[in-house]
This record gives sequence, structure tokens and C-alpha cells, in this order.
Amino acid sequence: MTDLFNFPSIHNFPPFYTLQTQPTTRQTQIALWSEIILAYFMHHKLYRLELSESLNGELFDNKGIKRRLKLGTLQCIIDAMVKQGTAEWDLQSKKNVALIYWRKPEEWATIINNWVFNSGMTNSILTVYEIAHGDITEGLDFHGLDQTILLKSLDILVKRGLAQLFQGTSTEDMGVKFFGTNG
Amino acid sequence: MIKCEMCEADLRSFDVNNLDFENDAETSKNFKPTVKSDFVRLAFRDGGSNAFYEKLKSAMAAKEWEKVHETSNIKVTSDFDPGLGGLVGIIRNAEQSQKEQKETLNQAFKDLDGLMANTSEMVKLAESIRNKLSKELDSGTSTDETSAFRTYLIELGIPNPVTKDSAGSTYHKELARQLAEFLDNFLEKEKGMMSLTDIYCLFNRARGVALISPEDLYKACSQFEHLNLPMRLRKFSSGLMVVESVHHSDEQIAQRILHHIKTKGPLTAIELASLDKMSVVLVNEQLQMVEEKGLICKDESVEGVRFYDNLIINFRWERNN
Repeated sequence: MTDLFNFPSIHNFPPFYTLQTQPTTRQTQIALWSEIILAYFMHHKLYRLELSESLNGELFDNKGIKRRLKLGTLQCIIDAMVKQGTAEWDLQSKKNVALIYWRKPEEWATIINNWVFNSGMTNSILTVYEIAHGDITEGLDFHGLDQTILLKSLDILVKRGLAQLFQGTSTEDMGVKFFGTNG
Repeated sequence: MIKCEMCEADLRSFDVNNLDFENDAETSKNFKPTVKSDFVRLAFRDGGSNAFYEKLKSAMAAKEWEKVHETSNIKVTSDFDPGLGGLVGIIRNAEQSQKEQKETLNQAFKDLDGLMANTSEMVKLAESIRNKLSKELDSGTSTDETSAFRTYLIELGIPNPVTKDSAGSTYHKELARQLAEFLDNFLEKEKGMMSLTDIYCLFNRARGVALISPEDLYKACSQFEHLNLPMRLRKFSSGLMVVESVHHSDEQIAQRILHHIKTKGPLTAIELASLDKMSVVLVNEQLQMVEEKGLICKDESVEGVRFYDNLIINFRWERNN
């Protein structure tokens, strides 16, 4: 978490922080920003972007050249990412919180299912908390996965007929039974 | 008569016609009475003493001699003349001041009339000097001074400005031709583009007295394409109108601006305008045009808008991991 993320040189280019008006330039600009956001989130294993707060962070606030992305511009970028399927708005947040999919829920579903199959936990029941934060997943890619994304991925497995969900007292207590077929 | 018939005093005779009243001191010296006395005795042999006495009395009462000083310094202001009062008086006053103004104007414009009468000659003179200078320019012996002088002369005049009277129904077409001829000298220097406002000023200055209206200029410029003249009227999206030479393309403008940005670094419209000695409005339009081509991109900050080489559009992120 403490290791530094290497920003591309365009991150130090002042016009990169002004939403460009020329269509092709703007398209490229937005694509580059999405690429940087995804790489940054993957690097630091982040899942949730709180827009107005993040504007003060190193990702969008470049103190070296004294340029900071505007909220409107960032929303534009996220909108484009949502269209691409690499992000999703938290609908209650009124465009202030977005989930960033450096891996899409489908991909997470496959990764989790493969892990269950490979670690011989077929037909055993795990809680949602165990999958995301338990000792058994320590060091794995999906360890620390955002709960919303995890539930989306599990839903996908349920729909594929590879898992079954059991209601618990809370979301974290929710149980999952994997049927162990390699998806 | 030598002696007074009443008092027998000596009487000297003198010629009244030769009396110099202008030079009072001289006169009184010449005709100084021999015996100095504090009184004057007057005799009225044919009557009229009473009339004289009345006049003298009123004169003494008025003390005109004491007033002389005041009246000569301060002009009589409250001189009331019944003929000048009332409505008639006001009208008369107005007429009077109008007449005075007219005279002043006539005097003032006398010189201008003279100048106008000589306009064509002055322009001819300018033309001939200009021709001489361009010969010199061609032979390669010119200096900066002569070329600067030449530009002044170019700006100076148009020999026979087209007017509504001289051209009639073909006025705007003729005007367009003359304008094209005139602008030919400028467009090259102004990098192929001039705003209509600048042209309006320059063209009217060159015409001198037969000024044209903005409307006429616009109509004349609209004729360029129709008349196959080597320049076009162009309207930018902001509404700014310019005349550009057909020999200059947007490509050349883009190259020029890109060259400046690449050699001098990111620029604002004002910086670019001063580099090229062009108007900021025009440069702004050109920058926008080049931006629309995707060749430059802008950076909006508290310091204003600055234009950069478009590094975004061709950027590829080469990641090591």
C-alpha cells in the first residue's frame, strides 16, 4: 500500500486537467484518465471512488504543476467509464460515489469460483466476511474486495448455478455454498 | 477782437480747425492763458445761456470725468435696451450667436477646403514617391527606413476613391475591386488575415474624405468571391468577421501558431498576438480554429487560458508492469 504509483508523464501536463473541447482530444483525454484511474486503483487495491474527497488526493490534485481536476470533469470521466463497463455509479450518491471495476464482477466471480475449486472447498459453506476478510483468503487477489462488488460477483455465480446464498443476520453473516463445478 | 468787451481781459485768437484734440497736453500748452485764473467767463451775446447752463449742470452732476476709468475697464454689461428685451430679444440673441458660430466654422474650414482641393495632387505625389521607392526596392538598394516610408505612403491614399456618385449601381462592386487592390498590400504583412474593423479604419484613412459606411464595406467584401478577387470574407463562429487572402490557408495559420508554441513554449492569446503583432480578437479566433483541428490543446487555470502543443491526442502510456 505504501509503495508509490508511477504516474505517466501526461499526468504532469497542465492541459490534461482542463476538459478539452475538441471531440477527438477530449475522447483521448477521458480514455487516458480512465486508464490511470484503473491502474491506480488496481495498484492500491481500491474499489470505491468518492469523487469530491478524491479531488484532494494525489490522483487528481497535482501539486507539482498546481493543477486539479474539477468535479464536473471527473464525473464526465466516470460517466464514460460506466459506459465502458469499468465503473458503476452508486445510485444513492448522486454521482459522488462510484465503484471502480479494474476487474469486472464477472471476472471476480470466475476468480473466486476457481479458487474454491482449486482449494477443495467444494460443497462447504463460507460466509461473505470469510471470503473478503478471512485468513483463508489472505494474500489472494480478492482479499479485501469491496462488499458490494463481492455480492454482485456471488450473484453472478448463483445465476450460473454454481453457488447458493443463505440469508444470515447481516450481510456479512450471509453464507455461500459452492457447488464446485469449474466454471 | 483783442480784449473782452466785459472785463477787458486779453483775448488770444486761434484757428479752431487746427486744434489738436487728440493731443490734449500739447494743445493746452500752446494755448495756455498768460494770466492764470481759477475761473472761466463765458459770454452769450445771442442768448442760449439758459440752455447751456442746463447742460453744464447735468454734466457736472453726472461727473462723467470720474467714470471714465471704470467704464473703460469693465464693459457695460447691464446696458438695457428695450429693443433687446422679451421674446424678440431672445430670438435676436440666438440669431446673433448663430451668425458668430457660422463665421468661426467658415474660418476653420477654409483650410480644410484647401486641403481637400489639393487631395488628388497630394495622393499623386505620394504615388510617384512610392513608385520611385519600389524601383529602389527592386534594385535591392533599399534600407529599413525606405521600406518603412513606403508603408506610410501605401497607407496614405487612394487616388480616385470610388463613390456612390461616380459608380452608381455598380458601387459595391467597384468598391470591392478598389478594396481588393488596396488590401493586397496589407494582407501579406498581416499574415493573410485582417479583421473587418481594422480594414474599415485603414481603408477610410486612405480614402481621406470620401468615407464609406460599415454597411458599404460589408457589402463590398461580400462581393469578393463573385468578382473572383483573391480574398474572401469569413465569419468565425463567434461572429467576428475577417477578410483573408485566398493564398493563405488555415494550414499555414496552424503551422505558424504551432511553430510559435514549439519554440516559445505554451502561449496565451495575448502573448501570441504581441509576437505576431496581430489583434487579440483575431488571434483568439485562429487559436480556436487550430484547437478544433486537434493540433493544440488548452489549459484553463487561474492564470487564464494557455495553449499547448497537443500531447494528449498522441499519448500512449507505456507501462512497465
